[in-house]
Amino acid sequence: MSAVAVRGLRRAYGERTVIADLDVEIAESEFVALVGKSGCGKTTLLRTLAGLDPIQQGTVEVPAARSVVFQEPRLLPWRRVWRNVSIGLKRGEGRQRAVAALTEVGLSKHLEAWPLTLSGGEAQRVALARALVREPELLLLDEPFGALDALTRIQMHELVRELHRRHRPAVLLVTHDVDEALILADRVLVLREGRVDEQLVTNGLFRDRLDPAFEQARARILALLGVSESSTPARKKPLHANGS
Amino acid sequence: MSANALSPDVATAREQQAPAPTRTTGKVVLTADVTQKRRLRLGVPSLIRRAVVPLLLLGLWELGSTHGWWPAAVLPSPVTVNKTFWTLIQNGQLPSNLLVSLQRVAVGASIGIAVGTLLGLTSGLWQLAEEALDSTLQMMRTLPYLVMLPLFVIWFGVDELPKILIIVIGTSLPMYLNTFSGVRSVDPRLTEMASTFGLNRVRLIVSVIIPAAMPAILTGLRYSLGISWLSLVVAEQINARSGLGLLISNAESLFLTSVLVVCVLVYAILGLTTDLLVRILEKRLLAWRGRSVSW
Repeated sequence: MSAVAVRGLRRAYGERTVIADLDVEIAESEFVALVGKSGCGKTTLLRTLAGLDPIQQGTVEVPAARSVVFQEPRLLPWRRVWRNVSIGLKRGEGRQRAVAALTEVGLSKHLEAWPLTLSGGEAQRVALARALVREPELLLLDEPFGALDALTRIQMHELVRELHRRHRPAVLLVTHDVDEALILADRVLVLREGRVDEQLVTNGLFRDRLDPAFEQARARILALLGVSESSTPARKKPLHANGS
Repeated sequence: MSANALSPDVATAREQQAPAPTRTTGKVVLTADVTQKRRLRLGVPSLIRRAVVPLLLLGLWELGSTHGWWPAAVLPSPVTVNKTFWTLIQNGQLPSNLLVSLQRVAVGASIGIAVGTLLGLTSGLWQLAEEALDSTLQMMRTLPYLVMLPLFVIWFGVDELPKILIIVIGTSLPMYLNTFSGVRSVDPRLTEMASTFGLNRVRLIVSVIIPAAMPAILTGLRYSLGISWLSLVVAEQINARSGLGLLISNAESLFLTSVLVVCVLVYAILGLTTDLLVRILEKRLLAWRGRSVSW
């Protein structure tokens, strides 16, 4: 039984086809990363799964319980942090569940803070708590760490991995960052011109960046994306391999 | 003053060979002293700094009056004005007329603000309402609405109705415009986020759109209240049998300059008070924006 089943999905903006006959399945609790160049249709796919974009052709099966973390935190600045997390929950249980979720992302001290007083990383953790508080069966992450600094991003990777281990939702992570995809995902899909060009089952193989296999997988994906790293094998590894 | 100030001869040398780009050299030491200089110099409380100019003007006024720079009939001294003020309070003329005027503004502004906000929300939220209303209201905005007063008098007589109506129109338009633009400039990313978390239309409006438009709505409120006093002054020019307008027209016909000055000052206080009320409201409703920067 899969969490997500996309069959024959097509999406075009006018003349331009963004997604062409796409088939994607995501198993329950599977963590899938979607990488690809800008404009390859990866965000469109995520938005379609979220129900934000209309379906022109094909079928999409998704769980009813799903939530999105966007690139920007998208917090309501006039609601205190915990009230941002409890948005859309029933009034009675909202507070308690929001506190639990915020504690999980390490923000139990900021329950009553105004969002504008948070740092970028903290705000994004609130967004994660807000997504997790409704126990989604599918978690959609749309470049959620793209706007964060490199150090914060590493911490967020740890946090996301931990949260996934604990809650076991199916995850679709859209990212530009190949390292991120390899470290976090069970399976990496490379999307090109609206099709899955290649997929790489990682199954937790690449948790260690220093592993030579990690380096190989990374080089392969970058090659698929049309980025050739000039061959200096012993060079320092950038954290963010392919900025937008 | 500053550590890297140019000496005069360096400055002239620079002017002579003007276009050549100069490089700033030397070192500047930044310490707490240097970076906080501005604050230290302005160590006087803000309230006192703000009061300086008004107090100076008041002093000048008193000085001019006592030295006879102008005839007392043109502008009586602050002391005389003060005396008149207390007389008007004691004989009940000021409180009773002020009450009448306040009632007019309260009724007119409440209706105007409510109607303006409601219309602004409606046409901000519904395309159809915008198409139906917006062009008409924008047209009215460009009209100097006070010009309607003589017409209102012909249509509705000279009693309360035309006076209140002119205040209603004056206050509703800024409320409409600001509410409308506030609703329209809500960040679509936030409404999209809210929809992914299953907020229905009503909750979306209550939890997202109205709070997001609140800064604009309060700006509208401030304009509206300001305009309400202006409208009152004009409206009370017709058939003033009570209200501050009566006080003014009586004083005008009897050349009682000091009463006129008292009335002007009363209007000033009323304007400042309503402004203060809006500020307090802003502080409470917009607390999430954090402490606003002010020196």
